[in-house]
Amino acid sequence: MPYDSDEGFLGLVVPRVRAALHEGRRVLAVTCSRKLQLLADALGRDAGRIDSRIAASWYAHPQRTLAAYHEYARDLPTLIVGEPCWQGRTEREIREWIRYESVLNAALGAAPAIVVCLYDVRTAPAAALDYRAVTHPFLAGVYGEAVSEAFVEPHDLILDGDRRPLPDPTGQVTSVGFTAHELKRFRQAVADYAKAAGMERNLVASLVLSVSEIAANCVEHGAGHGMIRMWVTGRELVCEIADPGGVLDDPLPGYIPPEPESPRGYGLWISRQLCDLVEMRDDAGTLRVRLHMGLGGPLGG
Amino acid sequence: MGSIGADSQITDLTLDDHACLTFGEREEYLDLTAAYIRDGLAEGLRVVWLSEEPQAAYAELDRRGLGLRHAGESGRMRIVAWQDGLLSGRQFALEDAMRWLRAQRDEAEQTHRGLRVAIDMGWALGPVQGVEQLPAFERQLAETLAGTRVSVLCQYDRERFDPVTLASVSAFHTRSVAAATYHDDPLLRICRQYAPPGIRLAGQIDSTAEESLALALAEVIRGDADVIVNMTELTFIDVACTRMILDCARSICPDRKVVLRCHPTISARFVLLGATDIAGVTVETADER
Repeated sequence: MPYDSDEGFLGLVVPRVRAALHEGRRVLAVTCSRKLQLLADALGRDAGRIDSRIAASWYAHPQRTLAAYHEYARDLPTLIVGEPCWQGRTEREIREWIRYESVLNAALGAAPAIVVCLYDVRTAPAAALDYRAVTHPFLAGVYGEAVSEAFVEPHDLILDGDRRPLPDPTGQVTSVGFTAHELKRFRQAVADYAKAAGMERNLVASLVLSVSEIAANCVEHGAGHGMIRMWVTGRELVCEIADPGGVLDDPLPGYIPPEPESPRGYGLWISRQLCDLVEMRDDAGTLRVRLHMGLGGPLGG
Repeated sequence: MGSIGADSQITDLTLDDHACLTFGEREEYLDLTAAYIRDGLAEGLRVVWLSEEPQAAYAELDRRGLGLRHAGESGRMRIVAWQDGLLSGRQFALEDAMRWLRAQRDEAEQTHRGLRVAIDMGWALGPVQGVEQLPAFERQLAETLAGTRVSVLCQYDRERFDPVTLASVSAFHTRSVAAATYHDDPLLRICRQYAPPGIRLAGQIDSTAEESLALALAEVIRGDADVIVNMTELTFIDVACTRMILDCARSICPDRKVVLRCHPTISARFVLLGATDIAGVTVETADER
């Protein structure tokens, strides 16, 4: 839903929130604190009946945001009104947030939820605005709602760069091979490398778990052995696990929170939760999973 | 006195047992001692623990939920420094030590159903004169205890006592006691925890240890008490093992409570995989060492 003024914002949101409350839905509004206040003022007494979250903290990491919405909406009928933060994002981050907009359809597919995504056309980046019709099954304006002809199912979405080979590593690259019997030694090697690169301690633990899970997938379901390469670019450590027998068989690998009883799919999901970015490519029969993790500290994130 | 066969459980000890506890790490030593004290108090016995540092020992028992204030006030439970029972300064004299022990026995038999004594044998590792009387001390203990209402638990650190000494004293004991262990290799140890009951994991665990973990969790499930999974010395756990522990918790909660005790990086994994969604599960974050 596009808008270009405070009045436009309220005109879109207030009637939908009131209707949802009337239907007995839970309502969650996520935007900047100024607009949350506008909404609260406009709702008057009903303001106390909705949940609000500040966008800057709610939209910190696309995969964690997906998990949080999934958690919020999975049981009860819900209306979600959300507006991601686009300002200050890099091109790579904007691409992942566009992908998030698409995957949200699948993540909440089974939940009794209505999701209204807001776009301030004055400030949202052109790429995000361009993809609105692709990532949303319905489009809305002041005159009503319409089916989006351009909508693409999340598992069919291909964004710029998705098909391109991953860029070659830069700087010094450290390689370590692994087999089923060496996973412990191999975890130590990853931990040592990350510590030597200056990564914060809790991030090292997250990286080690993620790498370990991807490598375990390779040992259990792939070739049974593989190779990792690690390097540092800027304030980010990149770790690529190459599985010569790996296949990409899940159309949305690791994006959707697995059910507690599901026997598989947790490793990649947790890696997406813990790392800043996870990229996957089928490279002539070798599955490459690239994990990006900031080093943390005052300069990183 | 026959030879000592398979290890007994600390919870199996009876009134006139002279048991030899060998332990590999401090946490295990404290856990087993706490169980010995707890069970003794529950049976209405008087309990004395000869320890290097009584104040620290009280704190450790407290941390394990023994709540000793009442037992301490009523004189049922005492933690005594080596110097106040076994040693005189840096001197061990067999006759003095035995006289002290017999006095404890006589006093307890008048006022209580019996006596439990735990003796940290670490005193024999220090710069103490008379250490060579250790085997004789153990022999006299055995002779003195037979047919009485006194049990003694001698506590030996198997990393610090040499095998020859351990072998020379083991024959004097009616039982050998150790923690039930499900997995023990240089990188991972899974054993039973006795006080409070549960299991303890130390080191790194991944799916290669799934069978041992499954065995430990199966025993947890068979019990009927609340459970603590003590992971304070665990430095790595993979998703598969995290989920096995959570599945175990789901199967016994909320009828029984489950405490997952671990340091922050590990507790974050349990939370991410839904631990806090299970009614009856508490994730307790311990400080990282």
